Amino acid sequence: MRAQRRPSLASAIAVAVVLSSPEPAFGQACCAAGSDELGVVARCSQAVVATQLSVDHTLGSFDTAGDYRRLDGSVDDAIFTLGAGVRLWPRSLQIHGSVPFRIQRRALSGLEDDTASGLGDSTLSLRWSAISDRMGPVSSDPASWVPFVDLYAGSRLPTGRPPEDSDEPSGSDVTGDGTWSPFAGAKISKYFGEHHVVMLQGQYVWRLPRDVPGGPGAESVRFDAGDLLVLRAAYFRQIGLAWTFGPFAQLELGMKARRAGDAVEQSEMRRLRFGGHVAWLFDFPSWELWLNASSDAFWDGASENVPFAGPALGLGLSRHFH
Amino acid sequence: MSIARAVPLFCLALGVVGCGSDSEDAAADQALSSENGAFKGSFKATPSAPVVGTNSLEAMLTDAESAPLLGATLAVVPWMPAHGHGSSVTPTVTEKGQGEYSISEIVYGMPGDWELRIDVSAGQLSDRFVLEYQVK
Repeated sequence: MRAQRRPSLASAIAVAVVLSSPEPAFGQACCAAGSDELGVVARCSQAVVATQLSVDHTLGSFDTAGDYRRLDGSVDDAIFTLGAGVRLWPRSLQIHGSVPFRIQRRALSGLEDDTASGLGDSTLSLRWSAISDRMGPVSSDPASWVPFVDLYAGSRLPTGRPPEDSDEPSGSDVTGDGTWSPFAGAKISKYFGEHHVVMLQGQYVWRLPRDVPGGPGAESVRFDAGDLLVLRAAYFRQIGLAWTFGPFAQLELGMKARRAGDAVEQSEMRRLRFGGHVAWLFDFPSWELWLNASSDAFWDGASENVPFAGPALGLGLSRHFH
Repeated sequence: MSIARAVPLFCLALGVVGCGSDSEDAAADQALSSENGAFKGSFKATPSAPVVGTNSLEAMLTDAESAPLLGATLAVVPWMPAHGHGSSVTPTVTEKGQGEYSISEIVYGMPGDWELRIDVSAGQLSDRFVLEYQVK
């Protein structure tokens, strides 16, 4: 009976806390962070440990002309990711990272179905909360329009298995890009009143060139996969003290690849995805549970050069420490 | 059928080399010369529009004077230019005689643009064919 009463008591305490603070209900929204970026410490927290299980199912692909075709075969990935972050000194700085473990199943024409697993490429990043939003109502006062601005830089680490090290005919054991990929980005989050948050994010990824085998008896060749630009827009709606939900759109642009310095024609990539999330902050503000769903846009021209396109579903849990 | 697709197919029916080059025809029979002109070849993929997974290829090779190429050594490498990787499976080559070669276990691991690089060695001559496919 006491366990059943705890959520009500916690909510009551939360209500009391937020009502007594100078910026009441806004505090809750900024305490929810997990569904957005795994391992990033929420603004009201000192540290976080987070896990997410996501499942990607491939339905088709986009060719170089942007035409979509259904995949004749089956490609499914389950990804378990562990993320963590901690604030440094000054408090506006934090370091965070994530490590994925991938289970990948392939059922392709003429090949035996196979499943392989392994670490994917990890990430490690330093983030600076440069500017803070007052999180009050927006008015004619210019100060009320100032958003949160976070700047970050880090790298993807090649902890996954690259394509050139694959042992499986289907490539099911390929879990990484095989190269270090430094990145830098900015995230702008603006609160409009008590219940609405709009976020814009941009990130540039430098995929460093690497030597890849040229084939049996051939020399290795320097291959540059091309840098990435990732743009994301999202909207959060807060309901009560515990719930947030909202949609997002993401556009990923891949630059032209280069082989031994020569550009590979028609190697640029464009990928458009849409999705949404719902998050529940319970035992406020310590635990967060979220569900996110996303999918590639499936109409012709939405994307280009995307071998595996389809929906994804993720379930995550994070523990915030204060 | 659109005119854009009908013309290349008509050219193939006449056995004209290099007639029509849109992406759909890259998957059909191909007749071409090696990169340095040492050999000529005609290639038929199975399935005709290569798919993700296992595919095969029948090749008819001749020398520059169109004499059947006998006893040649073929090294075949599938390669995905935009991603910088090939396949973990090495295709198997079988000589069938009269310049005919059968290439099996060609594995394309994902959809997209692939090259099939065929290095041919016969006597003192070596050269390469590069076939391009849009794998679906």
